[in-house]
Amino acid sequence: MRVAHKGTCQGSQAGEFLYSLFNSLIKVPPSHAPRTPKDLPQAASFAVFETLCPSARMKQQSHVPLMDHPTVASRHLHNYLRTYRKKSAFSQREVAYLLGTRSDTKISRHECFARVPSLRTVFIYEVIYRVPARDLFVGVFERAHHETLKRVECLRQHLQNRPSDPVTTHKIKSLTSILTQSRASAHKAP
Amino acid sequence: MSRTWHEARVLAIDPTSKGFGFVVFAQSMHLLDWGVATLEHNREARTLVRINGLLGRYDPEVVILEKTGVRGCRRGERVMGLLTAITSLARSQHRNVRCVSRAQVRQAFSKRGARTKHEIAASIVELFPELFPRLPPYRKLWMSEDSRMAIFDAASFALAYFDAEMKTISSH
Repeated sequence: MRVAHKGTCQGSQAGEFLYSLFNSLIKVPPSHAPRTPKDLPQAASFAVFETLCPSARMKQQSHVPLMDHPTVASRHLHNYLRTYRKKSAFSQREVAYLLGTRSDTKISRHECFARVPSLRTVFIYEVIYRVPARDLFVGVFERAHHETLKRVECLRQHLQNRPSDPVTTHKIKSLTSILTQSRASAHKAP
Repeated sequence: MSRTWHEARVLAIDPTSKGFGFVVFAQSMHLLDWGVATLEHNREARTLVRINGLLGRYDPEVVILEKTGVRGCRRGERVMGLLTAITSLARSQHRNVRCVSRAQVRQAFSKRGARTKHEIAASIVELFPELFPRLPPYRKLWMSEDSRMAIFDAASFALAYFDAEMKTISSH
């Protein structure tokens, strides 16, 4: 049996090999059972995921065509702690020591976006990596920035509908300057 | 929101006999992450789980692998099967998969005077000094390949891909 994907990787008996290996490890559910030799590796990988990684549920597709243009929406990562740590050549344990914690689990959770660090920890990261917090936590910053601008716009519209007085005028001026300055400063990833 | 190739996040993977090496680039020349995963038992399944984790964490638009079944490819059947499985996994998540051959890598790095794997790795270190601590020592005839070389192999695939994309754009 031969597995071959058009225009990509080919492997003689590779599918058969994977299929027998995965079948020996786990029982492939009937819904994921391969129908053709071409489906073998995909079916095997789905079965493995459902066994080893239950949270990683994926939609099974018999054939997904190769896309010529990227369509997956891509934003900044939640944070770039791992990138800066690796650039500094520190291990997670060393960073844990610098943070004043015993284990490196906390660092791992911050880097995997599983946990949001405390304000104190953010400042320590800023000291360790010599990078402003908004550059370390670009994703968080951008989300907060976007949400705040929306609220600023809402509040400005609300105040504009009110009868005019010096205090309201001053507030509207402040809100307008927030919007102008924020739009002018475009933020870039590291 | 779609992104052009130079804005895309790219994950390059190089499976080895003991696990795999990977490199993540953002906006073409920003190195985001790199590393080697060494897996002992149930390697194929664990490799796919780890790669699925990387796909989830970095959400790359493009996944780059080695092109097999071409002249000069000396990959074993296990790795070829694994590459096919990784391709299926990436495509099931609607990600673009691009395969780069060793010949394309050599061609891309020939401009910098790098021909051997070690020279290519040294050339990558010149571009990305943060990879210097991971550069393995020069391999002697009696030595087996260092597992860290997988990082540089993955990086070379990604850089060859960027090189090919740049050529395509300039030719248009």
